[in-house]
Amino acid sequence: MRSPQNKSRRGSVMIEFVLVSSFFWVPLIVLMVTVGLRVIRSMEVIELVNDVSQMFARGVDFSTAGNQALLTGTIAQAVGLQGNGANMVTGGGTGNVAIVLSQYFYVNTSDPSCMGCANAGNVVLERRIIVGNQSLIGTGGSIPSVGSIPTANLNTTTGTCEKADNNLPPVTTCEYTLTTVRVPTSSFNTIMNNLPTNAGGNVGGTVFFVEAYYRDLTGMIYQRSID
Amino acid sequence: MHTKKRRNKGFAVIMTTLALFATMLMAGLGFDVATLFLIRTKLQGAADTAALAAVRTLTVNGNMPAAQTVGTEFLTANFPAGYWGARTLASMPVASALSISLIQANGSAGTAGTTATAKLVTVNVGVSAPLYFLRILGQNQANVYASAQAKREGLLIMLVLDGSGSMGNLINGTPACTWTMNDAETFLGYSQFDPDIDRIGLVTFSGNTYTVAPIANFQSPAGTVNTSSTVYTALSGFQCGGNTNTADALQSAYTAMQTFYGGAGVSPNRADVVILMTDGAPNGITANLAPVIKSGSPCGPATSGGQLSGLLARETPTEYGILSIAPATSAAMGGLPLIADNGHCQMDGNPPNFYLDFTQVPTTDIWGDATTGGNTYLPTTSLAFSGDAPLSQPADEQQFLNLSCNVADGAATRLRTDSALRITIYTIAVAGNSGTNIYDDLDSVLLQRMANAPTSPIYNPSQPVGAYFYAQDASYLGGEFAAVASAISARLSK
Repeated sequence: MRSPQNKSRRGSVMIEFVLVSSFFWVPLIVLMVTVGLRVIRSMEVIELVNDVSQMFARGVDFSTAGNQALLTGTIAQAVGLQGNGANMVTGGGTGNVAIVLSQYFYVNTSDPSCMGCANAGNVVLERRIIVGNQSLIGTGGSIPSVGSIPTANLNTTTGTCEKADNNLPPVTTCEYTLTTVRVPTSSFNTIMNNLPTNAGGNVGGTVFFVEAYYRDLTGMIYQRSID
Repeated sequence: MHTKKRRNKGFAVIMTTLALFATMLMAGLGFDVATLFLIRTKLQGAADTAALAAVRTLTVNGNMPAAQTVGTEFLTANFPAGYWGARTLASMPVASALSISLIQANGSAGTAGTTATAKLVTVNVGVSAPLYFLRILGQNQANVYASAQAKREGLLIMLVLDGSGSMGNLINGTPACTWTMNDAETFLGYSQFDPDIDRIGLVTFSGNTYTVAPIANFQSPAGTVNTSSTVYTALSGFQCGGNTNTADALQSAYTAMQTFYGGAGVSPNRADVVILMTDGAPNGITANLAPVIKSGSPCGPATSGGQLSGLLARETPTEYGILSIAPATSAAMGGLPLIADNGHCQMDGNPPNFYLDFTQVPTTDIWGDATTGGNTYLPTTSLAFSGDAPLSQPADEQQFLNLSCNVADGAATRLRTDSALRITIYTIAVAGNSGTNIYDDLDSVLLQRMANAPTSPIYNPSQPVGAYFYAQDASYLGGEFAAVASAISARLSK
């Protein structure tokens, strides 16, 4: 009963559907999925940074195998953080995530436990722990990182240096003494600049800085928290 | 048929348009909601860090406006202006997002120096987040809120300072005792301590102890040592001499804390801290002793005396024996007369002879801490005194010093494991007391055990974890006191 004209139209709907899908629906769905995934991943990374930052600020030592296992096996499992292997504090080379934990400390000149130590009056990058794929740090376009502090800013003064953890004996090399510490954004700089004042003339003025780099098909996600 | 087909023409376009509209609406709703969640997550993280940063500042510098400033800086740093297009709500400016108040243990408002037991940091922040797709429904923005609270808990600190004879040793021409006095006075003025909510008391000890109840006005105004306070006045009169009855000193601090809270078992409303500073190993205990009056000529029939509480300690580096028992009274002896030295028949009031009147050291001190056996720190083989002979053997002396260490260790464990107070102990060792007698040397392991420091051989993370500090002589004591203040501050901020 079908007319020859109808017969000739056979498959045209399919072709139109494919064309429309190719040029409209598929990109739209891909865009939605991509944006959705990125938003979800961003939220996961923000949560990760918040959690790790607060744990770090509360004294959890992520340089130990046990706490790194906690990180890779539980806290950052959703984003697939890989362990460091033997490189406990310098990071591994696999995976799509890197977490950089930095601890800054202002050594007050009036600190009685400093006793004329070599790094008095300076902000000290006292601790740096990298967990995950350290090759991700500083990648992903113009993402800045305290992980890439120029070597020139590192003061390698040899002498008795004050440590934030006064329960430890004084170290003999101020390897991570910084005469200037500048992290990327102005608001962070405000905090770093005000560290001496906030120390209140006493031992203190510690800042904990956590950054996370996450890479997937949609690109790099960078989040940080200062605690 | 032809007419129907004509009617169908354009149907696909309409359906596609409708589907597109519905799809865009759902996608837009999803995107906007996801954005709101993203902003909310970031804002909550910023609020949390702001509250913690403010509390951390309060632990090093009790100044509330300074803490507010710092908290606001952290809030701004972690939630930058314009994050995903969010803007601060006019009704909730960032500058006033953070507030600090004095509270009591039950959460109600407190008064500085009296009822307040903590400083509460509250962060309430709100932003207006832009909506992108839902504008087609007339909704241009949505408000997102976050709040956080953190508390700077009040402290109850008991300073326990060794005033034994060895603290009279000269360091750079000044007695260690004087170094201690000066540094402890300075300690009272550290800005880590907040007279609004903290309390500091004092125990000085040698063979006996002297206690000053915890007070709030150790600083007046805040940040400045109050030289009129009872603690400062007691420190100014700090003198050294006698033995080292560490267990008794810890017990005195414990009793002062319980009294402060209104009795044993009362739940504390502050973080309880004992700071023990000593330059030597314990060499005295307080115990209940059962004297035995000897029989035979010229002493007559054997008689048992009453219970007598007193100090057992080594007398001098060259005389091994029991130093003194106090009070040595007739009443304490169950009515037996105290007589002059009668050939060591009974209590004669002459301390060096006391060892003659007792058969052995008790298995516990007066506070119930074991002198021997069980899980005690150091080995003891025999607590018996050998008849009328003085404890003249170094081995006997070592026994006695070991059991003195054991009861000190037991007292520290008892304080740390008290179910109500759960006291954190920080220990400071002052070296320099050595050479005259090896038994006076510092026992760093004991002090690490007492503090439950991570380096302790019996470290137990389920108990309050303190720290052990070492000063190479008394002139370095100031730095160690500062380190303790820093450690307490760091602990409070976590």
